[in-house]
Amino acid sequence: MICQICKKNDATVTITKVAGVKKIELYICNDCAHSLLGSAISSFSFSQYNINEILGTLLSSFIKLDRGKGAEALNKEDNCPHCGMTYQEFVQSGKLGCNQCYEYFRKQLNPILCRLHGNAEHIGKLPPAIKERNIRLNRINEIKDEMQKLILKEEYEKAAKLRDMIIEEEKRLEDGNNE
Amino acid sequence: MEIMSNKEALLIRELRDTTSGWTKGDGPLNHIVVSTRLRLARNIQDIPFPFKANPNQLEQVLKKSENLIKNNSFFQDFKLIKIDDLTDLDIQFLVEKRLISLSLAQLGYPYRAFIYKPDEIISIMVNEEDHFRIQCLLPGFQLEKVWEIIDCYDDQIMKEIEYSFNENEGFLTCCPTNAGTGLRASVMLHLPGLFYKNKLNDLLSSISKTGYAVRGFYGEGTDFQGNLFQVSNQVTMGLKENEIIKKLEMISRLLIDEEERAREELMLHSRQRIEDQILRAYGILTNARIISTLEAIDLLSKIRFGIELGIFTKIGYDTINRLMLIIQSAYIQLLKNKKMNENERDIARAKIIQELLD
Repeated sequence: MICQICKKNDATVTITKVAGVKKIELYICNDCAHSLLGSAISSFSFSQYNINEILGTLLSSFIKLDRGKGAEALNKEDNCPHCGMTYQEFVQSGKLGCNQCYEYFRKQLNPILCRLHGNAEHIGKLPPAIKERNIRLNRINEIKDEMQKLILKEEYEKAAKLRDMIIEEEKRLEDGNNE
Repeated sequence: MEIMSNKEALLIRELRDTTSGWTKGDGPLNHIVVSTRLRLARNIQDIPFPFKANPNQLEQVLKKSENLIKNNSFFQDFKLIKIDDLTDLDIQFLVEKRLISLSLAQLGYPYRAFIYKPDEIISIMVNEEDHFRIQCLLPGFQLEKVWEIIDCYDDQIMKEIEYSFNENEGFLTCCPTNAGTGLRASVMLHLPGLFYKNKLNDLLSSISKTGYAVRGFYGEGTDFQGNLFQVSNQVTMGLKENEIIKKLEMISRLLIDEEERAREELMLHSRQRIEDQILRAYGILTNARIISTLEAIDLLSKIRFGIELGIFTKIGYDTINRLMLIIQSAYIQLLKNKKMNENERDIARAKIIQELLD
């Protein structure tokens, strides 16, 4: 899984907090954990620290991030390239201007979504095209697993057939994306 | 009366004379649950959300909506009303009939519209806070059924229109409080038993801690007119649609159980007092010559309670639901086909109530 903050590195740290009925789960990379928590975090393990203390620091850092640091990271002139919305406008109105605002302000928005919903990840309904693509991706992964097993058993001919299937499926997937 | 464009005038007249599907009041647990409503917030890919869109883009949204009902057979009997073509009174009437939101009525930008099926069970507001606000409304307690219907229409729209969506934040909405599923589910409950037993405030404050909100249907704060309450979800992301709905169902059931218990206790210990209040309400409503909306709503709640307790057998929920709608200010003026001042409305209201209750 990719880090929920920077959306670049692999998430290596998972934190779960149950606050009332809200379950907050964060998957973040080491770098983001460090930059948020500063010295409160050990690069080896969280277990040697009181988890509540760490979470307290983490959550307040998140709030600071969306109120201060994150907003500062954007210049006042920085606006969404698609609709021209500035972060300042968002803070004032509580509204975003377009779909691309979600990408452009993601770093600032993520902690806010977490606080609003207890989670910043959609797990509900998918549009049919995306649903279909995910089914295809799962199928490709299944075939890949199967192929690996055959390779280990040195059944190369059968594995080659699966490899061709994967190539075909991946081509279809690409065609679907380009439509 | 102001003269409107003919098509719009006809449609408004039709809506004035027809009863909305939900007002039949015949759904499950209708002795406590008035109606169940779901709405989905959706936007079109690559068009800024309405408040950031320019008039051309808003027009595009409207055009796409018009094409949707023209091209997709699922929407063949749907009708479209453009808000700009309506008088203020008509717009207020649509709000009073629970067909459009106050926001759609009050927003300043052009190309707002409203699409609806003639039974008024499913409708779509166009260019509200989001490009589309799809809503489905049924009588009684039927969350799953309402979800089935709205999900199906949502799928049909997706065949024609590409929504603004990404895999992180789901369906993208103007306000991040709606992002993810874009789903707001709400149940309208009539809770006079809990009101008489003075148990409402404790229950409502404990529910508000669960990520669900309870609001009085008429007005905010502690002044709950008509003992009507709306319970709805606040969290829209990080849960699946059916999880949001299941949890709302659980919370509503808790309130329903408490209400039933309160009614049993009332009937056991204070039967005379409750019956007295209900019958007095009937007395006033069937004899008053002048009555305000607020007083009428309060008394009609007591009549509804009388039906729920089996005191009135000849008055149906449909009559009460219809009355709750048509006694409102704009609706009365449309029914009487003339502009009226407050005093004239109060007189007309008293008459309308007597015609329906007698």
